[in-house]
Amino acid sequence: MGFMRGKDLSVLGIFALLGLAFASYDLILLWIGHTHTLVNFQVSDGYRFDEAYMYFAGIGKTILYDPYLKEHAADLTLRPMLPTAIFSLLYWLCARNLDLAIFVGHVIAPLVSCYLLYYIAAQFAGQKKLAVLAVLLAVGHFIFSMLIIVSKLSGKASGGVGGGQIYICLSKYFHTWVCGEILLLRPSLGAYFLPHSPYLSYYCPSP
Amino acid sequence: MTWLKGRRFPPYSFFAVGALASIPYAMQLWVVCSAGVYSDIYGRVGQTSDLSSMWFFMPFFGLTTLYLWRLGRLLNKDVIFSLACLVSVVVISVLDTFFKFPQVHLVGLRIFAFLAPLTIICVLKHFNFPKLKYLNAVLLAFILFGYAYPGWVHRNEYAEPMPPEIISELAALPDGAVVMTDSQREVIYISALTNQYPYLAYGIVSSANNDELIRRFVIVSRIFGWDDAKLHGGSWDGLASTHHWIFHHGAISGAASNEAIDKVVSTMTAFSPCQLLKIYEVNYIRFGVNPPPGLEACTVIRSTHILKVNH
Repeated sequence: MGFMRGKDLSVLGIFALLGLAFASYDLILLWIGHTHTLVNFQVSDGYRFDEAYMYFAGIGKTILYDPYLKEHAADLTLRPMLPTAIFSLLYWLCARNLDLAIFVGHVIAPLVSCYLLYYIAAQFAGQKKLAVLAVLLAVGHFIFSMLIIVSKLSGKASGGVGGGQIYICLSKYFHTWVCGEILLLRPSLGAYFLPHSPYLSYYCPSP
Repeated sequence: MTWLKGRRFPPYSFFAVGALASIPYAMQLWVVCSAGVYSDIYGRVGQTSDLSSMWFFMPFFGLTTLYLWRLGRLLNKDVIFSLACLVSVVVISVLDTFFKFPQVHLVGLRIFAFLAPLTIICVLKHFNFPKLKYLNAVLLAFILFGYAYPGWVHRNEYAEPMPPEIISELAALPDGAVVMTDSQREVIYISALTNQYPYLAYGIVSSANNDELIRRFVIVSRIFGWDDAKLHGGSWDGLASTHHWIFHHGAISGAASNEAIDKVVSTMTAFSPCQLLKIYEVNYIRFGVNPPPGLEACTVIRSTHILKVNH
């Protein structure tokens, strides 16, 4: 616990705010949106749009999402094994409460990622402010902003993704010329412990 | 980090742990391969070169490596790290060129997107930024907004996944039953939150071959009277198209997808609706206001929106 060892409350505060950011999506849904469940059925990419339903909801079902396998009596699913094990553990630790498990997965897993990034960045940078910057650039998907700008300038495909929080904010209010391919990010369990946010949710209209 | 600082080769146990971590994936690949539809399944995943952002990370890590090397003129830990990222990108790109490396999203987006900020700060630490904490504060504010705003935008989309009466009707069906529905949300609901199985499957997580996936969609389209556009990649409940459900990123050409669908359609035109239901197991059919026509001889009404299929 690098930042705890240094009793650096400012870094701890930043992590608390990051946790609040990760939690904000679900909290708004629960408090303002009259949400029935945190599992999202407005799905455009079932596998990673909201992976929570893939990993949590299939627990207890030998085969998820696959009548073929049921018919052929093959105990096989294409769910990745390690994420399934991690999320299954979370689910059981949350007393099999699906919404709680999704919420915890949305908040705790990214925070663990952030700490790991902070720890590694602190080793490289040797100063906490730059280490925090690395974490914020990663969480804000800053590289996606660079990617889409370079892709627009060079005429190459952006790989179906672009933006990041910074880019989204700019596009939303300044309607930048690159608008048209951004994808609104939102919290998710994502890839293992990376603070990855699924995409494919909201396409900014082209100006 | 100790290895990087000391520029020592990692202990062999490091590689042993890496090899052990790969065992579950190797087992899964072996099981999938033994099922006999390996090429179809991995074909749906798509290739790295189709949609990935690898082209961006190659010059990105190349520039950071070059800059860091010019600063120190030696292989310090920053250069080694950036160079390792560059080498990884190059290796993956080369593998993709020769072997059509699968999985378009994970590599560039989910790994290098988080390694890139580390190389950025390796570069930035050579500059003096007295106001860095203010920049961090601005970024943090962006991040807070970036997560809260989507919640606000989508706040009402989670209210009801489906009408409550449909949920209760589905929940009353026996465990393990196969339910046919042409509602995309209901396919997902049945798959994720009930003990039944949906008749339709999503290609990216299904072990069925392409032909079977298409056949199932063609059957559903015939039973529910879909128009041609809907079956051929048009709007399906305003969500993902049939092309995406069947081929995911593996057949990015709409014409190629439709050609494959039409090939299956042509083999099934002579089948009556009841004959179609005999091709793959189905126990119940969820319908809207009225039951689909032509099923009177092989189904009975079970509840307001559910038909029971007689075998």
